[in-house]
Amino acid sequence: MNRYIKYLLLVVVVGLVAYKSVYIKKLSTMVKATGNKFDAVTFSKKLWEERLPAKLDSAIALSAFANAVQQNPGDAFLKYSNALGIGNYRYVLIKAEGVITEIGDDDNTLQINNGDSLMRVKLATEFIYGNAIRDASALVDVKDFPNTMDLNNISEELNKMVRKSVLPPFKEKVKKGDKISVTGAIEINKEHLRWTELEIIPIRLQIVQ
Amino acid sequence: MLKRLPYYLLLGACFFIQCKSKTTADKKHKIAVVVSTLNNPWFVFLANTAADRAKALGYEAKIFDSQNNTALESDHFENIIVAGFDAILFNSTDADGSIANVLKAKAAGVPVFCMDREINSNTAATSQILSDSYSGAVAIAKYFTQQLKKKGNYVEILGIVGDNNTWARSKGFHSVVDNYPDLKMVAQQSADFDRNKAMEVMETILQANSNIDAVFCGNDGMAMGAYQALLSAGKADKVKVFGFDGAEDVITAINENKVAATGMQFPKVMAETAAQFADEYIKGRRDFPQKIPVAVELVTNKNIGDYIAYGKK
Repeated sequence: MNRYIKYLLLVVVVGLVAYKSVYIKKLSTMVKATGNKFDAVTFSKKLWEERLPAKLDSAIALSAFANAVQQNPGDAFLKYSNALGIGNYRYVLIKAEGVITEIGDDDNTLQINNGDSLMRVKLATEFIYGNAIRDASALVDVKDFPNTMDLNNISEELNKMVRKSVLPPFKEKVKKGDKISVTGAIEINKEHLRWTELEIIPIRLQIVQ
Repeated sequence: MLKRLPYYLLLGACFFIQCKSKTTADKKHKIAVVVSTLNNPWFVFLANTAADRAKALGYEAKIFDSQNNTALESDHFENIIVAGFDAILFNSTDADGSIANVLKAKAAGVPVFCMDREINSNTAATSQILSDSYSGAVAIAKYFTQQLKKKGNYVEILGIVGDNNTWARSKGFHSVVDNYPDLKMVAQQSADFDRNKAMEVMETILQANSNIDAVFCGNDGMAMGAYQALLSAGKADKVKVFGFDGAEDVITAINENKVAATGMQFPKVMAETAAQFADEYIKGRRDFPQKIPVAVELVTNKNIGDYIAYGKK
């Protein structure tokens, strides 16, 4: 009898240890499917056509933004800039009117009146990449997109629209001395401001005269 | 035996009571830092910064080195849970293989904050603070294309194939360069983010392809390995090398025009944000974004004066 109790206790102890040591779960519950069906093309097209125009209408003049940064950088970046992530890069929707003083392979030089002085910036005409439009628009919230690639794809689709629909007609006609009007996005490193290297990614672009 | 039964039962009860009291009594607000490897100075910096920040916030902090081994990482998680740590600041060894470990912690009520390396689950970790590798690689690729004047032969050396950063960097890079048909990739090989392996890989590639204009590497260690191979082959002046990380030797190499560019990551920002989030979680906050990108900045010889290793001056 004693022997049976001993064995029974042993079985209970071993069973308890084994039960507490081993966990069996379905693989499907361990690895959440990552391939969600977010359609970046449709999302970006809708954003471009329906929500971005209103944002562009309220873009700040580049010269006004530059002056605001000069006076109080903290306030200016807080009020006018946006970024989905953490870091020094900030993105702003700006508008400007100026004269094309140089036409390069990858960009044009745009001269803008800024009060008593002139401001020269680059107007990107070739390398339309990065997150400037997506982030400057402030229309995309990082909390809505747990898949990082979805965010990257939104940027890529918005950039494609510029490359395919905004730039070709402009590049065909633009020449040195033309006065142009542009509304677009800029990327700016708030820790190291370099206005001379500023590059505008155009979203609305037209030759005024 | 029957006479001794109450003693056995008492002993068993003591065992469980001891286990229970250990997990509650040992709660001294401890934060664990689990890092993929301490063999790479970049990850040493990440782990130390996270631990230092946790200590500064008033926690006891301990670093666990997974030695790029998911099984060892799993052991660390088991020990961390049993030891009653309050949070884990985590740099994973494998985007898929590490998910089970994070879920184990989650089931035990221990929040996990991923640093730099992503895991392929949107529900396992409390939050993931990650370098925006894709966008960083886009910026490098734009500079790469400009430097090569949109044409030439190039090599891509990839990191660990199971790591998401490897592919985020590669995809970001190709999202730009693939638009230029005169830029031709003559070889693409993995060197596991390892400097010596990258040197060997580059030596082999050079034997088959003598006409190379540039090399894009998934991290700075591999960039230095590739540069070493090019130097030995007498091609270091002709071939432009591009890295990713912002490691000390590459910052020096950019200064000396040996390396063309790198993507500066900010391990300090990631580690400190993760520690801060853990502190806020312990104090009651629950609404964390699942993923937060940390900007990667392009470093070239034009703006090298603004940077030091792993960050800004």
